[in-house]
Amino acid sequence: MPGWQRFAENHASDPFEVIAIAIEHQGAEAARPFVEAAGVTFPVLIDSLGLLSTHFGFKVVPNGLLIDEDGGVRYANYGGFDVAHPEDVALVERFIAGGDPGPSPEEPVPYSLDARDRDLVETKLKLGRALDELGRRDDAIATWREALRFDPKNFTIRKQIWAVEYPEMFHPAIDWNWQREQLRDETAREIAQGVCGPDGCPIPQVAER
Amino acid sequence: MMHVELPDQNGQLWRLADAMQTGAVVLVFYRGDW
Repeated sequence: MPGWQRFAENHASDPFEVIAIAIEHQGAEAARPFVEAAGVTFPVLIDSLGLLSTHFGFKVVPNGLLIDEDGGVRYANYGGFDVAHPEDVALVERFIAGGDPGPSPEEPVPYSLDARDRDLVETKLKLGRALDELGRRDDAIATWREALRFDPKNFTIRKQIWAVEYPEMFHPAIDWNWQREQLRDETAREIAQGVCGPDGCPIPQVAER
Repeated sequence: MMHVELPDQNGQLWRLADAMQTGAVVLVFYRGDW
């Protein structure tokens, strides 16, 4: 976030806008401290139900979409888009200068949810958030895990659960080794329950910022 | 672009399509704190 703020400031005279979407199932209250700490001046919208995740079909973050003035998606990078990557900054600069950002990386889509399952996931996420707001943290986590059963490779949901259950593994630093071990253990259980496939649910790793 | 209203960190509702009418948009997704 601070990186995108610096980018926006460095290109203040260019005709474009940065909009950030926080996939935060605990809602605006949970996101606000991090938004304020980053001091961003562009819109930061909170997607507590994963609406855009299901709309665009991504299951990991951080992501970037470059959208032209006609609403067309000119570039999409799901899972590895980062302002800390010089190549990502370069293609954004080409785009806002009116050029071609280049081809989007190919994204293997493990599966697509049908409308019914999307509704079920959104409903479970909404119920989980309501329970969390009532202070029923264990019930909230159990409900978010029910959402995960419908969308087992959705790491925005899985990592949300982890961050609530094990905040010490995310602050002050992200423990990637713990995530791998946790995923291995959860995957073993989910395979036994018939949730994940025989290849498990591989964890996507993104650069730390 | 899908028609969806999302709140910002202060609870103010934004229509995503309206927020994107200023021209080219760099839409970045991340999870709350990382």
